[in-house]
Amino acid sequence: MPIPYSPPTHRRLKVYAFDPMLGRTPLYRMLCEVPYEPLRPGPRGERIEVVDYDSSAQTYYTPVHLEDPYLLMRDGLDPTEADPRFHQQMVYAIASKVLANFDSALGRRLYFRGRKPLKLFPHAFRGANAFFHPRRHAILFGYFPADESRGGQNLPGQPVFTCLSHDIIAHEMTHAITHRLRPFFFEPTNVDVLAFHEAFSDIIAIFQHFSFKEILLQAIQETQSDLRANDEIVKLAQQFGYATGGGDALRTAVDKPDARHLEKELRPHARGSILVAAVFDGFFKTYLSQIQDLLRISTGGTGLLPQGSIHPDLAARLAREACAVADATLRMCIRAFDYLPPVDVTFGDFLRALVTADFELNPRGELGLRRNLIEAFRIRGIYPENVRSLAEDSLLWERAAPAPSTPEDISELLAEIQQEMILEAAATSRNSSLDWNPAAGADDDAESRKNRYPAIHAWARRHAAALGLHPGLAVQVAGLHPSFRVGIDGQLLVEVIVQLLQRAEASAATGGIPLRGGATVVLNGFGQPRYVIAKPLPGAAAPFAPAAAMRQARQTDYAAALTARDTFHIWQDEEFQKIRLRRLMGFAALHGGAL
Amino acid sequence: MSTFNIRMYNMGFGDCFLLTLPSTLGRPLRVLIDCGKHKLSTKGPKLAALTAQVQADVTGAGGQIIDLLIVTHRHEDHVSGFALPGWDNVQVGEVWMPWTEHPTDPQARRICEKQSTSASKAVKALAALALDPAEADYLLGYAGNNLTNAKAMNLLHGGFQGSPERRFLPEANAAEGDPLRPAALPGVEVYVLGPSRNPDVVRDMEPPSNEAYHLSGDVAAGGTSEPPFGPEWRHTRETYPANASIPEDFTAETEKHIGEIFDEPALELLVALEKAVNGTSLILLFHIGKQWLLFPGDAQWGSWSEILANPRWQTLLKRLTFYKVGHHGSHNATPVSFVAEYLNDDARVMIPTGEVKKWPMIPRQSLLDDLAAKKLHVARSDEPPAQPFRATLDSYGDVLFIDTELDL
Repeated sequence: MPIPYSPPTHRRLKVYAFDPMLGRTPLYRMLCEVPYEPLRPGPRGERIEVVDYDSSAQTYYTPVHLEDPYLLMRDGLDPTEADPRFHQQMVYAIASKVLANFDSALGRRLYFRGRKPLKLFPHAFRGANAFFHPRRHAILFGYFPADESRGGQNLPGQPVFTCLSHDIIAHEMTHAITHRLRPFFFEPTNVDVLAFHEAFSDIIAIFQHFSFKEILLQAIQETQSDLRANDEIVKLAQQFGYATGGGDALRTAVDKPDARHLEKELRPHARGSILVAAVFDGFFKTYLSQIQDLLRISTGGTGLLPQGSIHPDLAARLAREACAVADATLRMCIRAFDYLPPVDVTFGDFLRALVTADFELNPRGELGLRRNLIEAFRIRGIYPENVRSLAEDSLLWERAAPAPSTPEDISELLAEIQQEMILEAAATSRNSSLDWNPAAGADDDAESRKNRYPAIHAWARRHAAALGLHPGLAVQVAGLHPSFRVGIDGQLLVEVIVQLLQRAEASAATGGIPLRGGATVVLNGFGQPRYVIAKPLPGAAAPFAPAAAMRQARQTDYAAALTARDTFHIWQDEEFQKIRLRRLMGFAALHGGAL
Repeated sequence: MSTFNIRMYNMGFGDCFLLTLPSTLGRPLRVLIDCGKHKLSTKGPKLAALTAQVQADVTGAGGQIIDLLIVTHRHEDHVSGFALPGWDNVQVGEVWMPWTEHPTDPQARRICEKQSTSASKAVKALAALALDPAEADYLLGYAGNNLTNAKAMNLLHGGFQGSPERRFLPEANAAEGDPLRPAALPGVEVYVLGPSRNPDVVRDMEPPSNEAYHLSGDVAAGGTSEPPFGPEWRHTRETYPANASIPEDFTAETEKHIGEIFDEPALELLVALEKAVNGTSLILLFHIGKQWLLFPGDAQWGSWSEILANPRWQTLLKRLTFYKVGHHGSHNATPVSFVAEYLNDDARVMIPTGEVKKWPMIPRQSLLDDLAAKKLHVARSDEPPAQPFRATLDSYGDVLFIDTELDL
């Protein structure tokens, strides 16, 4: 019997390094490595499917078949704007890369609801926009004719494709994943929620782009930039085609940070850009501290580089450090997700989640990234509510009160979940992936998950008071995720993350956006809650009452502020007033600047 | 005791005010603020009749004279009367407009250009969409408010007798807080509270990028609706390549759903544009004798929040004795806190408004209630008022205009 070949771990695909819209001819392409999976023409994979249907032209374009031997031998099609199959390849590659980054940082394989693949339409419509559409479970990319005022080297009238921008693809893909992980983060319940959605998508797009080492190096050499000045590196990020959202979210990264900006800024994009700038600042300071030794080594100890271009070897080392810190930042931001509340997120929550997630995994924080991020948030006025100080240990989420559950309640259940996780890890490892049948696996999982939810639900109801839940309102178990991670110190970290949801009635005062509550509960391997990250509703147990009252007032005030600023509703009838803010929940509206 | 008169014409959904002041010249002094009516506002007197009335009201012994003509912003419902005949012989002393009308200021040109391009593209694109006729009429009428209103604006920028000076306010070099003292109006001081030149407020004057919408005008640009790839790349469901397949759950039905997503935001764009132009409104505080009068045009949230945060304006606004309600009484053109904290007892409030079936929430009932709850004198243009207001009706029995006398 012949010895079988082992399947590859990765598939390499050529993509544009920079948005061709920007018309930068050098450094045009890079190789994007994504985890290998068998693909049907489209490409159609397990979790994402590219469907090249153009609704404006009512036509399909020829799908690419990445399993074709000719394409396998040369890492896919060469970048070109003229062949729609390359567009499909690029959308698939970048979207897969985002998914892979989430998988690896979250410590589990992420699936969309019902394991239904997300559809990506590279040429969905004529128009200069791209957005994630939750109801259609799709990302729609537009194309539009270039005009004189833009388009660099494009001829006027020549089509410009939003699907050829790494940052746009990564940004929209992150919206889709964020929506998967926290489906209520696009309800405007406080001033930060929509801004967070935007900012987080920008952060992933920027730092994923920075993690491609070879283009970073090429860019350093081409621009003669030594990446030691903040505005240099920001300029680089902008040159990468960072042009999503309002266009210059990074502008504020070079502005003088000022806590007053945050106070008065309500528009999601502009507010989000403050968060992006904070994370970018933390990244940059960390990178600077990482290259100090290199600079000393290369300058005989002075640290002062002579004028003129820098040594290519040093450039390579600087690029590698920038890349490594970018990757660490990316992973830290993604990991934070498991420590975010299920609803009504604030920038302060994100800071606490970042700190907690990173602390759990990497208590000593050798890189200094955590410390630098805290400082960058502080100078921009991003403070969590109810923390005594911005010292690291105050920023950690409070540990859960000891034993709100008797551990045996759900420990058996958690063991089962972990077992399944191990099996799935085994099943997706490279040695057995060809034997693994994803379709069958999905069915089994759906079945077994269904059986576990009631047990968790019953547990949550029993411990409603300790979990900050309203005892009288229904509880929905919105998520149940085991997570296995290895810390920098080599320790295995095992957790199960449970999301619990509740909702109160929607009211006219909040523009039709319901008041939601719930908790993210992080359990250790023995079923002991370690963190209860609660967003209580009025009616929750006494210790949670002040937070509940504050949230309700905050949401009502925010709705009033939006109502004063938004003029759409004034032209509508009385019925519309009751639901006036729901209109702001669409990503098309968000990207169109409805606020 | 001498008095002066404020006349509010019943433009319906529109604005037109005439201030008449006594003088030693042997004729009264006149200040006209706006003259327009929205196309979708069909109730009440016709625009032609109203404009003729205004022209008659500025006619006296010395001929037709307006000492100061003020245009708060270029919306149709504030300027359409100037597109009608009858103005050529009117002698005008000065014309005041917002700084965004300045013919050579680059920032003003850019804003103006962006607003009018945005409007004309939207109108063209609307015409190209296959809309239900009633819906199309409505959207076109709505969008039309924002078109250049070229005829009226040409008159305001270049017409009238007397070669009036045009001033674009606030002037770039003006010291904030100092009032203007128009030569033609002795003793009158006018404070310019807006439109702001602060970048945060100016941003609100820029309509969102058209490209963000399906209604981008690309379709109307002509000739470019070809698919981006040639016929050799195109397939129908039937001719889809044999080695490939369309996902089972993407059916002919869902194809349609994808298309429908892009039909939604037509009105969104138009509302954003409307808001942008309202943001350019000239906001004036007149100090005439004992009286402090606020004419905020159609200023909305951005302008208001800046004004109410400015200590100088806070002090002056506490003295208000007259308020022209902004934007026809809509929800966010008169802040709740302004009504509560700045409108003094016995102040007079005039609301230029008219019901339009499509906009049942204008004027906003909660605003009317808040005003009624205070010790104020309130008149709306489309209803016969109580003292100290006095209505004059037209031959159909509709209010034509409402007068009120104020002590000097």
